[in-house]
Order: sequence, then structure tokens, then C-alpha cells
Amino acid sequence: MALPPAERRVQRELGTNVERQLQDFQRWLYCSRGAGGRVDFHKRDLLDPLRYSFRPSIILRSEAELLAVSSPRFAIRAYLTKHSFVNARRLKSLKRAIRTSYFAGKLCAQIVRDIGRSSGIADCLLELPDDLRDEGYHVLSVDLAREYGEPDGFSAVPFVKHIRLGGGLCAQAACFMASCLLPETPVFGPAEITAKVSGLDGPADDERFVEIGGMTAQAIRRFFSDKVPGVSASLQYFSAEPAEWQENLSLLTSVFRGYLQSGSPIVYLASASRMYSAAWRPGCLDTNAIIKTRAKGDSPESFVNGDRSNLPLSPDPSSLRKRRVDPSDAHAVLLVGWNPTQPRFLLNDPGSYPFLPASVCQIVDIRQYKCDPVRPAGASLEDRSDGNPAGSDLSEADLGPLMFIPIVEFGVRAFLLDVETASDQTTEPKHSGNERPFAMGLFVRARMAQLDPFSDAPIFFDSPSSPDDSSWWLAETTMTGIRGQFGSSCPFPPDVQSAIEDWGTADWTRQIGPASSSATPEPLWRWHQFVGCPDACGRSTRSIWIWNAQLNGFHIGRVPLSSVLIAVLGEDSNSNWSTIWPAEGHTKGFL
Amino acid sequence: MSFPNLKPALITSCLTSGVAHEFPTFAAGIGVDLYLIMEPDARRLAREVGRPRISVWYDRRTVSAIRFLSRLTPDELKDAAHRLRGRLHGSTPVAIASFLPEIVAAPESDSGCQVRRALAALIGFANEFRVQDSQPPVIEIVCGSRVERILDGRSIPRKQLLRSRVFSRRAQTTLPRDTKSTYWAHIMADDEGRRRALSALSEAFEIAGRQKHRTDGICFAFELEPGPLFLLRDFETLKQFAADSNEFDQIRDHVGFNLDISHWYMAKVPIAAVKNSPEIMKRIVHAHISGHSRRGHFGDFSLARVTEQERKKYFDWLELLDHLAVASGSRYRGYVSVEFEAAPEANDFDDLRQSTETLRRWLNGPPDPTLPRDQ
Repeated sequence: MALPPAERRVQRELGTNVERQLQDFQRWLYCSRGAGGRVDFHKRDLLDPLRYSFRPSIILRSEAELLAVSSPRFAIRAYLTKHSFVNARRLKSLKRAIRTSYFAGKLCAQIVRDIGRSSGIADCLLELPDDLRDEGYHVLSVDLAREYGEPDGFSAVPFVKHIRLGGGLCAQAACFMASCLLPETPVFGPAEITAKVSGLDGPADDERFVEIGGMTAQAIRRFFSDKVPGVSASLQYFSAEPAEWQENLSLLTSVFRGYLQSGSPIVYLASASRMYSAAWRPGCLDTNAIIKTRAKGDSPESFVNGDRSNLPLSPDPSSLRKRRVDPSDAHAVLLVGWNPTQPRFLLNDPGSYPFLPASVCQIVDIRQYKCDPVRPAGASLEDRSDGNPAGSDLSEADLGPLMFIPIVEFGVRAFLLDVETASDQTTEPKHSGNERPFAMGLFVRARMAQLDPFSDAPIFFDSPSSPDDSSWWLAETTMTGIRGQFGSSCPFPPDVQSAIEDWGTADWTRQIGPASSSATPEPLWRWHQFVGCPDACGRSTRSIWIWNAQLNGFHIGRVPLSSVLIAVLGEDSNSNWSTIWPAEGHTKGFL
Repeated sequence: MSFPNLKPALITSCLTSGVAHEFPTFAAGIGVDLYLIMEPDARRLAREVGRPRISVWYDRRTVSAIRFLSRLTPDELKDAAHRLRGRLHGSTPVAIASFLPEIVAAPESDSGCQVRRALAALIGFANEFRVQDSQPPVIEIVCGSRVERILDGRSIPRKQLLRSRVFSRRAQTTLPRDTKSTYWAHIMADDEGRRRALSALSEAFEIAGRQKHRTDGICFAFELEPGPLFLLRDFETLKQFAADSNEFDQIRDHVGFNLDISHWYMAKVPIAAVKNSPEIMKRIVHAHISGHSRRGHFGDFSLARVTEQERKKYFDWLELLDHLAVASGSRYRGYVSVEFEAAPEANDFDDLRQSTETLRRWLNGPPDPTLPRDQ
């Protein structure tokens, strides 16, 4: 039977390969294999067959801009469910545009070949699959549907697969997803991000070259800190001796959760090859890979089996032959979801798929090699496969520190883990292992205070070198559950006491993360900070940080640890932070 | 508040399958902004020229508008215009939209030659819609990309490029150190891009003159696109473009700007500065309007979804246009085109209808309660 004209055109534009990609994507996300081997469409509003429509796409527009072609700027939107859609790349049209706009020759053929290897999946808005929701995962989501031209708004998770040009644009894709997730934050496509980090957002008096490829870790941080209004970012490190990683997993879990619960997505700097193979990895904490590639004998729908590490993507045969680890396969993924009861998270991998469940062990396992140039060159799943790597001589000692970049709203100026000091953030990392100059993170300081609250050594907080130095400072946010612990008898300075009493009622307190729906404080680390009791003019003259830094089960001898840490910065901007709670002699406030 | 000097128009880009047959009845009688030189409606033009092979060739082989245009004969353009005019339900074609990034191609390149012929063809095409001595439609054109070319860092060694005299020494200092695995974009200087665009236009007018096309009243409305890789991208580049246009005597009076309210807003063009810039004001010859996201260039949406708070922003620009439409010496004819790129499918006009009606309401102002209501 002849197809209607619109469907014929969609078929012609997409090709059977991309149509198949979209169908697989839909099934992997929203279908599962039932007990009898039957595929259950367990979402009631699943659209089968897929419904298509021509719609604008910020990603396709941006890619056309980057390649200086006038089309295709519109995507074919495939609706997976009522509240999930994919903007599909029109790869055939893009290849035609390249052929007609570029001189025929080796370069043109190469670009066309690279584009041909790109995924047909561009930008998407996706709702969390039911099975992940049932497992207790929470995700960061945003209502961008109307921005995308949909008649009705709905909340969903943005995801984008990067186009392959040389390496790839995975860092830009991660930046795009992170920007989308922060409300009120400008969103730029990959071309704009590339141009902005290359200094092309001002007047151009002279010609220049701009690299179309990945971004360094520092470039990602600088993009958010310097180019995106209303946002702060910091490159955070965590390093441990090989034997110590295991005992720091709970700390890392708390840190990731702290950021995510506060509504801050995390760009995680990963090694692509370590994402899909445990066999290659020295020093693995978890022998299961985050992504499994499909074995040869598997049926086409073997991925629909409830195992979300099993993706419907076939590895590139040429890479299969290579069977090697590339130590410079730096990659960027985005942490978008967390499980409040288990140390597990959800990753959006712009090289493969969204909502990839990963334990904190697996996240630690996929950190980059020390010898990496920290350049997310965008290796993607199609390049990798399980096997015995030629690079298996890499040892655990070759692994670098864990690095990630939380993207937080403006006002958050201090971060939970260690950060490089401001003077060194202007230069690229020198890859000298763990010898970078660090400033201690709040989490680490708080833990020190908790572990030894009566230490003679003051746990002070560094002051900014100047009022404008906002590279890391405290946030204005709110907290829950503190007020009740102190009542009105706490022996604090009057303004601190007043701040605590006003907590949650005064307009100037601002909340970053979602409010706790429960009246009782969650027995987990939460990141609660605020800065500033405003004076009559509304300016902050005194900064206070109150953190419900509760660690379960920690005691010093028989004395339980403080559940609350309060630090105060004096009115003089040159003064240091000082811990005023817990203070020696006070027992109230201890568990 | 009303804007009595402004008239609504509609860009036909709302119709993914073409302009003529599906032109909605609710838009009949208002100005039409023909989207014919751009995807996807260019396919319609390809069919209208009466050479089915061209249509097939356009669909299957290429999407290059300049190659298509540069190959059309004047008779074919005339015929296509005649057919289209008959299908517009009495609406007036007020503009023709185009996007030819090759306008900044090196003049000696194939694309550089083709784009000149294509621009000349556009001049001829616009003339075909001229009724006697009336003004022809404005020709909208996106003002090119700053990306001069893509280079392959794997095949061209850095040393070779450093030795090359093709690129300036300053550009060479921006070469990436690692050239093994990435492409580079060679970004041209702004002044070079402007010079190329204006030179191409100037030569197109020469070609049009040789082809006996009328050139009086022809006006190109250069469109600002928000994005760092576009040549015309902010207030500064608008000012520079206007200033550089004055140096090209032959086309000085043929160069204008398309005030796309959403684009100018996204590019943070300050309205006060525009009002105080006679060079920019006198060059505004056409206007677009659409709903848009505050967060990024996601696409157009219906004006009916514009909030009360955002409406003021639109009204400020409409007020500027309203004054401009009756200002002496102005070439702006008062049309404001509703834009809806790639939006509703051919059978889904709800958003488009709402958008057009909203613009009508904005322009006409609230109904006068003292007048008797129609029964």
C-alpha cells in the first residue's frame, strides 16, 4: 500500500536505518520483555507506530550554523510517548548540503562519512521510564516542551546525542543538557558553545581558527562560569589511594546526591572505553560495565529484557577489530538522576543513551586516565567493544583523580569537594596527578569538623582575596530541620540566632533544591547553606553558613557527631570563616 | 494601544508542503512573505517552474538554493511567479525570504560565482511580482556565516599551515596545537565578510542590469541571526554593516535590514540605541514577528502564547516600526510578517491562525466600546 505523502517524505528523509534507531530507542526506553518473551508496551501512552512531524530543532540549527550550510535546520520530530519526543537528524539532507556547499574532494568525503556515522537521534525530551521510577530513581527535569513548540507543557529530561565530527562534541552536548536543566538559564547549541569558548562571541577583527571538537575540562568550567549568566561551576577533584576508594564511596554518594537534590546537574569526566568494558579496566570496584554491547548472536530485540546496560547499539566492526584501549578517550557524561536509598545514579551519555543506571562504584571506575589530555574527544559507543585490549598494560596507577563539574545556579560560590585554587583555574591542568593546588571543599571541611569538633586546630574557611573574587564562595540557599534543633536558647550571636528563627519564612532565603516534603530532616547529607543577613539596604554584611551535615552512624567514642555545622564570616571581608557550632562546651545540637 | 500604520503579513514557511495550494483562507488578503527560496518550500518553486526534472533533482540530489536559482532562465522565473500570484487569494507578495550563506563565499570560488547569479535571479523574480510601477517585494536574506571553510587537522599538518601565506600571521597564532583528530573552522574577519557580501550584491545588480531586469525599488533586507557564527549578529555588526554599505555606491540604496523582533531581542539589540542610530533606522525595510523562548533559539511559537509581561517588549518594537512606516524618507512599507518556521503540519493551522489573529489584535488595538457592535 502506498504511504501518504508526509510519511513517504519522512521515510525518504530519515532512511530505514534512522527509523530503526528510533524504534529501538523507543523500545529500550519504554518497553520491556515480559515473562513469556513478549514485548510489553508498558506505557499506556506509547505511540506505536511512531508519529512524525517536521519541527524546529535548536541542535540541527546549531549544527547547520557550525557547518555553514543553510539546511537542514528543521528536524523530523518522532513522538515516542505523549510526553517524550526525539528530534531526528536528517542525515541525508545534511550530507547533500555538505556535498553541494563544499568542494568535492577528500575533505568533503570525510565530513560526509563522519556525519554518516552520527546518530539520527539529536535533541530529545524524555520522561523517566516507569521501571526506573519504580526502582525509586529521581531525575532532574524541566518543562521545555513549549520552548520546543509543543502546544502543551510537560516536564521531561533533556537529552542529546552529539554529531560526530572528527571526534565528537560530547562536552558540548553535556553542556547543552546541563543548561536546559537549569531553569531561567540561557541555552546554547553546540556551535554557540564552541564559538563562545573559542572567544568568538565578541567582535572579530581578524580571521582565526577554531577547533571543532571536544572541550577541555577547564573550558567546560569556564563556559559556565564566564559565558552563561546566572550559573556557577567548578572543576572538582577527588583523589584517593587505590585501597581507599572503597571507603570513600559513601562520601562520594553523598556529594553527588547533594548536588542533584539541590537541582544541580553534574558533568562527569569519564573515560569512554571504561564505560563499556570491565575487562579492560585495572582497579575496578565493580566488574559490571555500565554499557554492554550486543553480542553477535543476540536477537535484534535482546535489549528489551529489563537490563538497561544492554543497549540496542551495534559496535562499529572496525573498532571490534582494533580491540584496544585508548587512554585518551576522554568523554563527558551528565549525572541527572539519583536513588535516595541506594548508591546508584542515572547518567545521560551523549555518546550512547540516556538514563543509564550506574552505581557509585561504576562511576568511580570510569574516571579518566591520568595521561588523558582531559579532552573529551567524543568517543562513542560505536567505537568500542569488549575484548582484550592492547592497552591492557595500563595499571591502576595510571588512573587520574575523579573529576566532575557541578553546574549550580548563580549565588553558589562554594562547592562540596576540593577545587583548584582560583589562580590555577585560569590555566589548563598540568596532569601532574594529585599534585594540583587545591582548596578544600565544604564537605571535606565539614567532615573534619564532625570527626574532630573539639580540635584545637581551627577549621577556618578561606576568605576571598577580593570582593570580586567569586570563584568559590558560599551559596544562598535554605535548609530544613535546623530551627527545631536549637529553639530560641542557642547561644549564637544575635544575627545568627535571628537568621535561624526566621528560617524559611523570610523572603531573602532562597532555595536551590526542592523543599523536603517531610517535616523531619532526612537522615542523609543535605547541602544547606545561606549567605547574608541583609542590612537595611539589602546588602549582606555578614555571611553565615549553616549546614545540616549529618553523617549516619559516626561517633567519636561514645559521643555522637554534631548534626549541624555553623560557620560565620565576619563583617570584614578580609576575615576568615570560623566555626561557631559545634563549639567546645556545647552539647546541645549533638545527636 | 494600536499601531495604525502597520499591516499584518504571513510567512509561508508555516506550510511544509508549499505555499500555493494550502495557503490558508484565514490569511487571504493580508501580505504574503514568500518562503520560496528556502527549504522546504523551495520544492514548490521547483515544481512551479514547470520542469519536473528540476523538482526531482532538487528533492533528491541537492538542497543548494544557489545552484537551483542560478540555473533558472528568466522565462521560467516569470512563469513561476505568474502561477504563484494566481494562487494567493488576492494577497500581496510583500517579501521573498532567502538564506544563501554562500553570499560570503570567496568571489573566485564556484559558490561565489553561483551566488551572484542567484542573487541576480532573485532580483528578476522580485520584479515579476511588480504591478506596473508598484514596489517589488523586499528580498530577505540571512547575512551569511563567518565560517570561511572547514579544514581537516589530520591531513593538513600544522607546520604546513604555519608556512602558508594564505592565512594571516594573527590567524596562525590561533591554530590549535593538537591537529591530529579534529576539524577546524576557519573563521573570517567581520570586515572581510561584510566586504564579500556587499561585493556579491553589487555584482548581482550588475548582472541583473545586463539581463535587463529593473533594479529601481529593489531592496535586500539583511537579516540578523542570533548566534556568534553569523556575520550579522548584534547591534555592533548592524552598525558596521550599515556603515560599510555606504561605501558601495551602486547598492547603497538597495541595502536594508529586516527587523526580526525575536532575533533582535535574542541578540540583545538595544531599542534605544536603534532609535538613536539614523543609519540603522533608515535601513529597516521589513519586519518579522514570532513568539520565542526566552532561553534560547528553540524555534518560533504562536504570538498567542506571549505573556502580558513579554508583550511590552513586542509593543516597544512595534511602536518603533509604526513611526518608521510614516517617517519621511523611510523605505519601510509597514508590513510585519508572522513567522512560524517549520511549524504546524499542512493540516494543522491552529497556532498559525491564533498567531495571525493576535497580531491583528495588537495592531488594531482593543475594540472601541463606544462603537455599535456588529449583530
